[in-house]
Amino acid sequence: MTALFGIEARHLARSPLLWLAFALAAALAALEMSWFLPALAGDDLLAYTSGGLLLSGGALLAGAWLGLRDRVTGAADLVAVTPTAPWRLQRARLGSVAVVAAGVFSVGFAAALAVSVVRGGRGTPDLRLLADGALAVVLGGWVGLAVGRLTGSRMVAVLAAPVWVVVCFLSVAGPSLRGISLSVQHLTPVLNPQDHSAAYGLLPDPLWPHLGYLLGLIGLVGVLLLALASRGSSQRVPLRPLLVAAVAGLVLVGAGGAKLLALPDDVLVLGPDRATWRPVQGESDPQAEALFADPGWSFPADDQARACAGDAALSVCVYPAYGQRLAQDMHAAIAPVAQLFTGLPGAPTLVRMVPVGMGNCRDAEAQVPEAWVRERTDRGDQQTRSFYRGVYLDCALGLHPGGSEHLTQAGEAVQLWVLLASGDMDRQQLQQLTQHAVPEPVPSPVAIAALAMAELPTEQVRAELAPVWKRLRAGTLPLAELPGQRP
Amino acid sequence: MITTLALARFRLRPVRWGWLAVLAAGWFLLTELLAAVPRDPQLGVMVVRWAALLLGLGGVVLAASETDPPRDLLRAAPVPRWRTLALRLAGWLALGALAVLTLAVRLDGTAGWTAADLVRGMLPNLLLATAAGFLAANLTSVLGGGAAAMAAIVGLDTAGRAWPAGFPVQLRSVPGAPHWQASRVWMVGLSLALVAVALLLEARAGTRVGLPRRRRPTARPSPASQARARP
Repeated sequence: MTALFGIEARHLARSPLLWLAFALAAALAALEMSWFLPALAGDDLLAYTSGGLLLSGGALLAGAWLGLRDRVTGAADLVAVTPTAPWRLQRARLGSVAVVAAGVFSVGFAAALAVSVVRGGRGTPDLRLLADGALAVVLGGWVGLAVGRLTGSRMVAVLAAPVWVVVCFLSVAGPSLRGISLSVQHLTPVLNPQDHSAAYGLLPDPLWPHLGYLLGLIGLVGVLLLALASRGSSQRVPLRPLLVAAVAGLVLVGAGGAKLLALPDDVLVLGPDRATWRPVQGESDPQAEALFADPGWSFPADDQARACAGDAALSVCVYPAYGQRLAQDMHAAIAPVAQLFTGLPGAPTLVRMVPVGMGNCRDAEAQVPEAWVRERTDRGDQQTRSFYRGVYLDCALGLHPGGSEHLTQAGEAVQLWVLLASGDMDRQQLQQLTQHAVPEPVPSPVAIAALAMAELPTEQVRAELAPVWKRLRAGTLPLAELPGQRP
Repeated sequence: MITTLALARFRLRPVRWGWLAVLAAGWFLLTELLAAVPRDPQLGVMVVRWAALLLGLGGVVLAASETDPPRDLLRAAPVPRWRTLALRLAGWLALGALAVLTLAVRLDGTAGWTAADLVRGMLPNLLLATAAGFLAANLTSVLGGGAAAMAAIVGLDTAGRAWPAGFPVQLRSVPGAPHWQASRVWMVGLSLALVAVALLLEARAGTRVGLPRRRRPTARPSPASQARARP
């Protein structure tokens, strides 16, 4: 039996169907990972979601081939007359599919984490994702085996794989499905969590019930296949273990499924205390959006952003999973701007990563949402640096980052002066902004005021800004009272 | 006429056109049902377009070696081998296109997509999946062809997402997008090239690459459990 197990495992491990899916999953995972900053606690999820679904489809095809093989090769009659019980043969096949499918997923998962480490990812990966993904791929393989055996049709086997993936995809899109308030998206073999934080994990966290749910499904499919194998044979599979396995499977599916359905679509982390976390059902939560847009709201101190870089004027702290290098990069981008505001009241001295929000200001702290930093799909390096500076500048100038309000003309002039004085922009670029800027050109008086400030020594501008700074932040300072405007 | 019909249906075994017609009709019904499920109509259109790729997989059965198992017998046939495949392909494309056109008319106006746009969004998908499956199945088997066609689709989609500006085939492109028209043309061109290669290989029977070589008979028979089957 061990020999048969080994032979089947070797056959399956050489299956081009499985490795084709592996290659595609690897390509997709690499693409997805390239869109995000590296972090082990995050890339594990990308490897799971990108690889899990495709590998599950590939395993289904490979399993279907195994299920069809005896019939295709004409060996079915031969197998039927072997002295070994058919259910034992089936058990060996199920075992080989499970080992190979789980092994392939594990190899992909480990490779993704290795790439993440090389790219600078830090933190602790969630190994439950490895277990969950491996179980999902095993389930795909066993379902394929069942499809191949039950239908005996190559065409059905071919169509089963994409249908499996499409059904999973549609279930994943659960929150946007019509007329369904239950979280059916959690019932898909491969989860696709919408929200994840390197510090707070999956939001919500469906992994433990999902593991039980998948185990139950695998148990039920296994029982079905063993029962099918012994059908028509004098050597029946022992009934008691089969019944125990079936009941255990039903219990796990029922309990896990009920728990998964009861989970909210999303969870908003409004503070380190779990009691403040708010479940969200559906695509959005208007109350949460209103809360984040409130300039008075900020994320409380949580001591999670512990990877810091900085100097006397400014510190930048991010979650350790992103590494100190990110903190250093952010600091390097913001420091030239922060130096110009040192000592001015309300100017942030700390930039801190937080899990939610639209970028908030809290005393001398600028908060930057994790998702904004991590996802850098279409941002170049220059745009990324400008983005970091923008978060800081908004807080320094009294604006709510990400909010709908605009700077006054005086505020805009000071912002342009900062960009000129820090070397982020030259005069020619400023001239261009007065003509072609998006969404609208910079008004000429603002540009003239910024240029006049840039003509003065930096220390003089800072000294003259100090007495009017509060009015500038409050939006009540006219352009004419800026440094360099008075004759 | 009789010869054409006979060629489309038979070489050594009949092609089950009845089942393929059921497949196309079932695809139409199921896709129309699924398109109505998402709350966002754009997602519904996306489902429809991906479903067209799925429909194309039906083409693998036309060219796979399992459909005409003892191919060596066909070498002596008086009719060129490629002609049968070409006729079968034409028949399948007509069947698939009919389902696509009907669905496009039914979904006219969904998420701002006109029936013409839907046809332009779906037909090249159907053609591409059919052509990729047709070629791969001709070289391997039904399962191998289906897997290769799906891999080609996922690969093209991944490449399109990786290089949104530079890669010519953008499966997710929408009307009005910069690559919409060019992408459609590329997909049709690629599909025709794949079909041409498949027919050429069929015409030059015996020189196909990728077919497993026959093993020499060995003195020691291998165990039945190690019997090889092409996926």
